Amino acid sequence: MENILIGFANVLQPMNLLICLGGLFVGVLFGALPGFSATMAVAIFVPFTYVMEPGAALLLLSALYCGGVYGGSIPAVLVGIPGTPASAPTAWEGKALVKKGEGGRALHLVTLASCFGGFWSSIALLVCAPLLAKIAKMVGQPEQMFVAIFGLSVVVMLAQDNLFKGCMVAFISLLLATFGQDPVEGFPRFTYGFSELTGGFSVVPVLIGLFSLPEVFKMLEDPFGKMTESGKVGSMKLRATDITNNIGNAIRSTIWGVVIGIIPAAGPDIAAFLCYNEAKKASKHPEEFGNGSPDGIVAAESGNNGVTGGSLIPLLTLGIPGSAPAAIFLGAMIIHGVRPGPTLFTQHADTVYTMIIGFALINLLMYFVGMFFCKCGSLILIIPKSILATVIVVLATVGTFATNKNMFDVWVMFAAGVIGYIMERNKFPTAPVALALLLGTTMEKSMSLTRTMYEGELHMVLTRPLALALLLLTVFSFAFPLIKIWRTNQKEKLRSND
Amino acid sequence: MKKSFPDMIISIVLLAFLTSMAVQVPAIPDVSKGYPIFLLGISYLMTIVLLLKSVSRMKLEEKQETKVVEQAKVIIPYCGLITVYLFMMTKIGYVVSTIAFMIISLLYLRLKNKVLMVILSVVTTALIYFVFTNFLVVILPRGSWL
Repeated sequence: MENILIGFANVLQPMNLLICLGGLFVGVLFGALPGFSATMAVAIFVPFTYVMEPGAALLLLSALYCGGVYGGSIPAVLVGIPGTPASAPTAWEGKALVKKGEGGRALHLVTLASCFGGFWSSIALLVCAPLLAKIAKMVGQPEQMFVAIFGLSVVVMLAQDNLFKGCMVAFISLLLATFGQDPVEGFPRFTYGFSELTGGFSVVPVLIGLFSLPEVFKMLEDPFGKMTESGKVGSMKLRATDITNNIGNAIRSTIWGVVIGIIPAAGPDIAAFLCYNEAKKASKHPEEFGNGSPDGIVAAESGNNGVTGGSLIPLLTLGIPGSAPAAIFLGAMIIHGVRPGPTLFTQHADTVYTMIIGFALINLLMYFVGMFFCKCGSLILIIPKSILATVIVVLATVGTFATNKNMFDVWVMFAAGVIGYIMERNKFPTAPVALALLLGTTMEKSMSLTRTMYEGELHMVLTRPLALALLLLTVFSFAFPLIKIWRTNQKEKLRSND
Repeated sequence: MKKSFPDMIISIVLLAFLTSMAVQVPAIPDVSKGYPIFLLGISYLMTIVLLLKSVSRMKLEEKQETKVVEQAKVIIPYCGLITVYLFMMTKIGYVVSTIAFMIISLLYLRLKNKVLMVILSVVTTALIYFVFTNFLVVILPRGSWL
């Protein structure tokens, strides 16, 4: 308790509060720009922390991280371009709400759900870290394999309207994820002679293309006369039902987010898709998903921000960085002489509690910073479509170039945009592409290592309790929507017979 | 155009793409090819099913009127404009190519205010250039012809 109070006292110092606010502003900006991410924000600012006190340095990095994860959702709602892959589900619902003239409401929901997820994940970090560290210890390759398969089960739910096409897109996208060096032996596959493909497709350019250019082409579908028209922002006020109907949804998604954060290699992207899927399953109105469902936004946002605190649990308690930002945190902590691990909470209690309390405060401050950004950003909607379409192309190009600093990725982004537009026009869902590219490599690697671990006797995986639990969840996740589709079809048949 | 016609074309293109991948499989060592072969097999199967379904549906369908041709007349030239922009970016650099692209794009999309068009193109390009090079430390293409 004494350490918690010291943490509070440190965080509430004016300089530290300023650092938190500054970090949040920059972090949100990084998240909002296509091609930039929370990881990049944290990485770029590590050198700036060398001259800071360890506590202040970790506060700055935490603010950048939380702001970066949240920031991707602002362009996702406003122009349908997710700043980061974790905002893709938000883009589907946000876009639909903007079309209804409820962009302001969507932005407020995004901000509130993000703060909720982030705040409670920091409380989990404070209260449950030792307990959750035990779960982290149980995670090995078999568990990672089931998490990846579990993640892919989302495809079945997302593609309910056209299951065949959805599954087909998922399998072909998984195949695309095999391009480049295989994850175990390192042999380059399907490179077509391009040295740029040796590392496989970079996910971010594909997603920028897939989610931004189809929007531009759709704007061009309108007769030219409408290109000078602009959209409506709408009120930022929330309805009472937005909160009352979504408390359970937000809590469930935050818990998922924290748990996924603990699992190595599973980050906010997977959490957002999984939580969106779970919310759709639990919803009384699943048909609203994809047409501007507040539940979908709340689930995705509280889920992906829930990861922020969760991903730091194995780092702080075991010294294992479970994600790219966590690895950068580890580097920064070592530079400042704070070595994560079991002794961290006793030897560097003041620094670590300053960081954890700061993490919670940052998520509360994020509401105000976020609303400021939303109010400024929502002006985008009153820009005529002709200007918006042109600026989207330029931003998507520059954002993609910035990802890996090469033009090949820009061409990949353009190709993905054209293919995405053709897919959307012909009712091929694009969401499975994102999921398969995000999970494909992890799945192949963990499958291969699991097979090696058990010398081909894969049934031995079931002796691991966490793997068994994840397997059951996966089976349920695949079966539930299929049973639902079958029952709906049966009902429709009965109705038509009557 | 018949409703299932695009599905048929897409499945033919996909089959060609999958075949181009299948041709490369023998060069992959045994230890690395099991997983892609499995995915390739399923992808082939599903694409063939889609092709057969679309062909059988097309026989029963009647032609529908769509705006595809009118929309293509607008979208395809714009795709061409983007292609030229991306190609020229490596030749004449980010700044010149982006200003030129923005002005041509805004002209094509019929923005009436010409002064706004020029100011917007120059200011947006300069702002992005400043943020990316100075603040985010990304060196944007400078162009091999300049």
